[in-house]
Amino acid sequence: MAGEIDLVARLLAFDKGKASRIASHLQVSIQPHALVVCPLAMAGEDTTIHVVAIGHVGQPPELRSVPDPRFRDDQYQLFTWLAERIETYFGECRSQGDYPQIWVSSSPVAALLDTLADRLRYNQDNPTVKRFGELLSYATERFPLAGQQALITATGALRQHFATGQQEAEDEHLGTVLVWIEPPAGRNVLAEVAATELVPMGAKTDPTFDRQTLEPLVRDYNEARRQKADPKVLARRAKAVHDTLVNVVRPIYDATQRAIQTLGGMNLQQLPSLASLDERERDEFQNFMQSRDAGYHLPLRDNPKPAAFKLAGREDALDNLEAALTHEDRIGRARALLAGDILRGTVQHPRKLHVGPWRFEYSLEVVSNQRVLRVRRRDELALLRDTRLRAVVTDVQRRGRMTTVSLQLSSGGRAVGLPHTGELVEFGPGAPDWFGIVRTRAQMANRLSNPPWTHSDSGMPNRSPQRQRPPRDLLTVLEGLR
Amino acid sequence: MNNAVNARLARLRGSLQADEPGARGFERVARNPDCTRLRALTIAGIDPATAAVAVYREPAREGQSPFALAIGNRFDRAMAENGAAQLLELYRSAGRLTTAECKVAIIPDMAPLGSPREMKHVMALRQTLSQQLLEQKLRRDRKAPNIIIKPRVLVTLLGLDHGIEPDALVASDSDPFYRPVEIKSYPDRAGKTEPADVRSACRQAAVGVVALRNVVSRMGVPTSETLIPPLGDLVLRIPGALKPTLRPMTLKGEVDSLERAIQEAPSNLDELEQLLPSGAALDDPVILESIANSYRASCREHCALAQHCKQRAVANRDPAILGDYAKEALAAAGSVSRALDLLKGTGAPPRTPAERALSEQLRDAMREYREAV
Repeated sequence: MAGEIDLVARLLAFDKGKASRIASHLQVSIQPHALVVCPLAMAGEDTTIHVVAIGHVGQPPELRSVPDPRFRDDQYQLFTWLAERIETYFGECRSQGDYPQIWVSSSPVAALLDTLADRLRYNQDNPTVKRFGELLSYATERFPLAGQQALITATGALRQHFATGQQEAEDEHLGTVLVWIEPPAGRNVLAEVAATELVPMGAKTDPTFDRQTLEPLVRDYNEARRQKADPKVLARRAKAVHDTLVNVVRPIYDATQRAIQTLGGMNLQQLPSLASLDERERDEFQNFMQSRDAGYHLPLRDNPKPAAFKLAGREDALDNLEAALTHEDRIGRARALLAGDILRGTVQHPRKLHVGPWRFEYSLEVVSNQRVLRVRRRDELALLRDTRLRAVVTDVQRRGRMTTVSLQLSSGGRAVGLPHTGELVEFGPGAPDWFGIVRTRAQMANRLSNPPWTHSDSGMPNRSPQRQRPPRDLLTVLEGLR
Repeated sequence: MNNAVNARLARLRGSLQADEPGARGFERVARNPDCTRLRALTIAGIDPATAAVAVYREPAREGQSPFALAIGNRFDRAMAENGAAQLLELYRSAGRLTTAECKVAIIPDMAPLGSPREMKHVMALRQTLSQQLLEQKLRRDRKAPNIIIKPRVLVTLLGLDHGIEPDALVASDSDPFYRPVEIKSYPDRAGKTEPADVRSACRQAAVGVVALRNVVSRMGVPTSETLIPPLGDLVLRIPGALKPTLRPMTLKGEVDSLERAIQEAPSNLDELEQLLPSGAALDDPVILESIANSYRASCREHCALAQHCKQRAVANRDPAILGDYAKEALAAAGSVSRALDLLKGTGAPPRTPAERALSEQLRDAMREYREAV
């Protein structure tokens, strides 16, 4: 839970028996062509898909299963079938200059796709399966980046917009989150949540269901297969497994579609930064596909240099998303204010000091009564109403509940102008810098052109400067320098 | 002493049979040391799953899928078969064992299980065999095995010995003693491995460390902590294959919390008896319910009573139902209902400075939230 706003929202949700909204803007870019993928793996078999439901937003699913995914040939047929659909979708997106978007129900499903991508993209027996793994890698490699739009979990997207009256960990169950958002009329929401919890919404079936229903059916199929039974018998037993699994996967698919509808139906204005996030996603997708066309290999583990670049990318994405929410989403801003990341107060002693020809020094004090304030000397803050004005904290004085923060403008003094005495101002982090990563990458490429000794075989470098004996005849050495 | 404690424990259990807590039982207590109910059940030798079914008459929600059990058993078998060839190869490739260090003792093969009636006898035999091998290593005998599969060692709780079976112990000839190995069929995905799985496996390995320290202390080694450092190996599975991976882990935090939990246990038995009415037993749902619990978000990962405790928490409006952060932040209010009173300014005015501070904090947040929405 992020902080007090979310705590209050959860309290209110519990009190009303209905989820509270915690976003003023839509924070996910729902692509009209997005693909909903709901796979179920066999328990314990982490690189399998027992059944999958797949379809575009607002469309009914196509369903496919294998009686026992532990038989590799059967499993690869399912992967090939799935690969055709993913390949077609990615191809369409590429030809339209757009990017693909995959929706799954929850984080465990994203983890399953990630495991499959890691495993299948090195497959040497089946090029289609290998290609499937590579294409999946685009979405799964993007997933850890904040603000990415390639692989969306329905629970994650709903959590960005709603607070429920249950634990955060319980919000990973899509069914219960939807019950909190649209509680059934006339029924107790907690009772409904307890009943919904029993319905699987992740990447696996329920152990009790496995024990009592699925395992006997799979065993029957395997028995028939072992005895080389009549194809009709085999087909009948395979169908029994399929029908059973469809009853499990279909509600997950429907719930994921409902989550997308719910978000779309909120009629919220889009977060302005979503346009930049879309643009970045398009670029990343085009780069990824060009790299595949050129035959570049996708590594399982990064070498130090690409790892450093990826880490920088993740930090940048997180900073930008936080900045976007603080500047563009009213609840995001309230959250930052209560966390003390935004300084709100009245202006005192604004001063413009003439320090030379055409040179002025601007300073001011902001008096705040915030309970929590996270500002330190040398922090650079931006005026939230016009981020061209930036100021550096020169001093922080706390007396009782009041805090006086002294600021010196670093830019924007002339363009924006010094705030007036008594004016209520808000200073906080700067606006998102969507091109900052380009500069960071250039600087990192320069710095990492030679791998640091910690990541090379050269061992620890010698001390620098090296300790040398002083020359015997210092005067001669000095004369030699003339 | 043992008989006296045994009798007290049997009284506490009432009509319920004693369950061996095993590594999982000890690990469970260390995960939620604030839960008096869980500690009471573990002390008395009652599994939470037994309590859920036999005491509360609720359906058992614990248990693994037969598919997951099958792969787990296959992986365990694969590690032990052919003289633990895969494990030896794993340790050799990691540089922990040389090709000459290939002595393996598989305790279940040395003392196989026969009929259920022989169970007690077989377990005692396994423990004796394990003890002999451990003594051999302690004597620095070069013939001591490098890998012992499924040894049976004892952890003492309340003066009673509880047998646990670490998946394996490993040591090279030059190592002073063995290191516990926890074999799990979880897919090893390096940094992407499920953290809850790793945490749970580490805690179980830590039970092995504690048990080994217990054993060598009984053998008269005064510095068991130096001989057996808080280290353990996790043997996980390459995703999609039955091949093992090795992850050496530092278990200091896990071992410390376990040792603390075990050391605290005797006084807790006394406290537990004082807590209950005279003659009361834990097989009575009213008695069990009267013992304080500490419901947390992570309880459903390891405790069969999680669902029951959640229902009680909801009924009592315990802030834990909104998560661990809420439990901490709303501690001054004590319940969600009171927190809502403080938030809305309804009910009794703040009774303590802590409640007043919480009320102000919640109302500030509420004001900002309302404005933003």
